[in-house]
Amino acid sequence: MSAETNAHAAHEEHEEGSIWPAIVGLNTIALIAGLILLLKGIYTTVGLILVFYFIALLVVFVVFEVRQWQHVISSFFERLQKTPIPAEPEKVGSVGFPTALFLLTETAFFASAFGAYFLIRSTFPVWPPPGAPHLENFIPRIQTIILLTSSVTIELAVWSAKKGNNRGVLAGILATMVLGIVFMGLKLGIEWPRLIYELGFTPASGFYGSSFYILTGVHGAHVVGGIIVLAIAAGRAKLGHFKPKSHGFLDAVSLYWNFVDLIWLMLFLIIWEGAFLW
Amino acid sequence: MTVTQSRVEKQHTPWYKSLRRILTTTHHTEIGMLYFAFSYIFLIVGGLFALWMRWELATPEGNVVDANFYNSLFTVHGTLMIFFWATPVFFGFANYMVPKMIGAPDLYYPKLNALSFWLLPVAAALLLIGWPNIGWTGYAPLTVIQPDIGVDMWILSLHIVGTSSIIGSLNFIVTIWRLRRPGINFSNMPLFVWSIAVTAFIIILAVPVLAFGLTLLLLDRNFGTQFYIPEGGGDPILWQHLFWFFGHPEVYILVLPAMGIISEILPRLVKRPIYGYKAIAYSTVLIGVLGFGVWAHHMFTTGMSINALAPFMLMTMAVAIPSGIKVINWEATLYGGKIRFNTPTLFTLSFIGTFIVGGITGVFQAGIPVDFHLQDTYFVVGHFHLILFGAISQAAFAATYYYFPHFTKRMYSETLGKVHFISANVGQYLLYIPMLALGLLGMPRRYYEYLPEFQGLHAIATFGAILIGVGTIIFLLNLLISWKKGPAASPDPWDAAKNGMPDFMGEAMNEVEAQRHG
Ligand code: HEM
Ligand SMILES: [Cu+2]
Repeated sequence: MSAETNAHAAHEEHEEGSIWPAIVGLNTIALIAGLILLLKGIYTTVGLILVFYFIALLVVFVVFEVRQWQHVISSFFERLQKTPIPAEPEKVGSVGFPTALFLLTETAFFASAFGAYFLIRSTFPVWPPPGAPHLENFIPRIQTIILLTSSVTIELAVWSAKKGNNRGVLAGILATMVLGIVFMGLKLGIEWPRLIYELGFTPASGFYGSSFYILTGVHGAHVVGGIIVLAIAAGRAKLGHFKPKSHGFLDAVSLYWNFVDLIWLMLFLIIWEGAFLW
Repeated sequence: MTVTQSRVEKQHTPWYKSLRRILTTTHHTEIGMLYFAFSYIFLIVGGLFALWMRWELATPEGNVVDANFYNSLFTVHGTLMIFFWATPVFFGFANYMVPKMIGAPDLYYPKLNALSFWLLPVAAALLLIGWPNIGWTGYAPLTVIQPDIGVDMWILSLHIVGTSSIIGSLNFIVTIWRLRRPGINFSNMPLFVWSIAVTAFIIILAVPVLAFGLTLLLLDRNFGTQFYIPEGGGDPILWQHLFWFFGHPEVYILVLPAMGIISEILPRLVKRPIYGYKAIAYSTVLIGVLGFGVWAHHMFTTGMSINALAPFMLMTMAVAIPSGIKVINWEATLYGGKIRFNTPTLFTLSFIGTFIVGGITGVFQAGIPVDFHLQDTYFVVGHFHLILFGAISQAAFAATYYYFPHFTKRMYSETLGKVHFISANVGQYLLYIPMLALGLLGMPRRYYEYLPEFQGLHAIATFGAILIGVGTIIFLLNLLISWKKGPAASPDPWDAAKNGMPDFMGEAMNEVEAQRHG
């Protein structure tokens, strides 16, 4: 096959669609099977293998996708040009609206978390309930400073993208990632182990413990998710995808990161600084 | 010349005959067809479970299945019908039609669209293998203390369907916002597109709440957290709040697309433009908004204070108003229209009629003192089946008949269609009216045996269920046979374009423009 037919075949392939949605969708069964084994503590190695298999699959998929992202976008506009719909990048291509929608679902999620927390908390005569350990706020304060700084570094990345400074973009993204990792390290490496092993304060320590771990836990999960999309952004920055006029993905990541940061501020005020105590 | 050869081949073998095409397609019409195939399969599976239950209930003794198996039957039946029949069938219509109606080449994110679909088979498999026995509402604390692994699978299954529908909804909103061709805007956009837009917003706001509630349940079951059990200060009622904050909007997730599709096909069938376009569009939005403020009408008997409950009663009654506005506008469209008695028209009419009956039974239950008597009886079961089968499923049937010639380029058999119509409608009233009566007499729901004095009504209901089952089989045979052997259909099967209301507005405008240019 000559190079030309090859390219042609690749084009055909794209018009015909992609096998990845089916692969990822159907393989969630492996993820779920693994999770169930882990939850029930039976065949935990098999469970771990299954979960990691799914994660590896996702990584392969994302790498694959990132490499042809540019191509996907341009063929999207090509397809639009054949229709009467105005194919102007600012109108149909900008990332603000989809990101806002996504953050709307995230808002609903966290609103239900805070709502559930306050609903049950209001049934307690005193809060924190008697006998609950005192939650030290030294680490959370450091974490707050870290996250606030990371909001600045991610904005630096966006600002550098606007200036066309690709090294600045990469530096900003990596700095944000490092701060995110330190944040998680403090939580999982120091704070939680101390609470669990020294104070015996676990998710099973009544509603007070359960709610503490679920709120900080889902937030932590979002930080981890953020670190992953930052890694994708870093990869795209290395490939030189971000241009002064087109860096939508980076904008989206920064919006998300700032959103997660905002949630942390609320958690910090409510859990450690006694906001809304009555 | 392998390339041209495969081209020729591609035109002659339909896409659904190649497994590779099925697995790789990202085209909206084809994904739409996959959704149809999937949801109709689960209509049959869920229907068989229903017949199994009705068979048990034909006699007062529990002699067909044991109590635990019966619990699983109604749990899996309910979850299947809500999440794997009624939701995906309208996602199928939305996939097929929304891009054509707004003149877009496809959805905004075609690959994500395919992903939304491919998550569903996994979720369905989890539900069926898990065979949970806790009711589709999964009330705590039962779901916390029931050790069966099936409950965990039920939770994860719902997580996956939820993810699928959130992804799908984001996709639809962005598509509707961005890929409308010039000339289609919010004041003339087809009403089905309106209903999908509102539904998608409901999904992205309500489903995350369910996801959170399910996560807490999973933790309570496996990590000893105490969200839903009172010992550590938690509260089983929290589950009901989270579940119904999602659950009531969920019923609008099902009914709004049904109303939307009826608003499309009704005027084309009676050859008269829809009456009150604006009223119907705005009432869709209003239902979507009010729907978030009524969830505690499922919790009237939980011991919440009456002051907290009263606003929910009023809000619930208020939802009846926008619903009524729609009904009145459909009736006004009928008035002076040319009513043709073909199968889609008949099902459209029975949709409107049954929606009125089902809606009025809902308004009764919205009264707190009335609901104290009706809660957890067969009255509730009768109410929501009138809506879910009588209205929503019949709207899906009407639309399936209406768009069948578009999907397959062939015509179905009218005679079999009418047989289906008669058996479905005679069957449903024989099935659900006795349920309402049984509920008023005090028959509780979710029991597999009962006092002998209830047998008469139960037997009638079982007979009705069998009629519905027979009708549904005739329906599906009609579709399958006509798909292969039916007479060729015209491209404008209902003379909609001839009457100035082309079935797919955006596509029609695109064609006109293309002709003008050359
Ligand atoms: C006029 C509109 C409606 C009103 C006023 C209304 C009212 C109610 C009320 C008060 C209940 C609670 C009964 C109880 O458990 O004691 C209920 C249950 C239910 N309704 Fe409706 N409803 C309406 C429309 C609908 C629609 C459109 C659907 C479906 C698409 C629906 C589906 C259900 C379901 C599934 C349940 C039972 C949930 C369960 O306990 O398993 N309703 N309705
Ligand atoms: Cu409701």
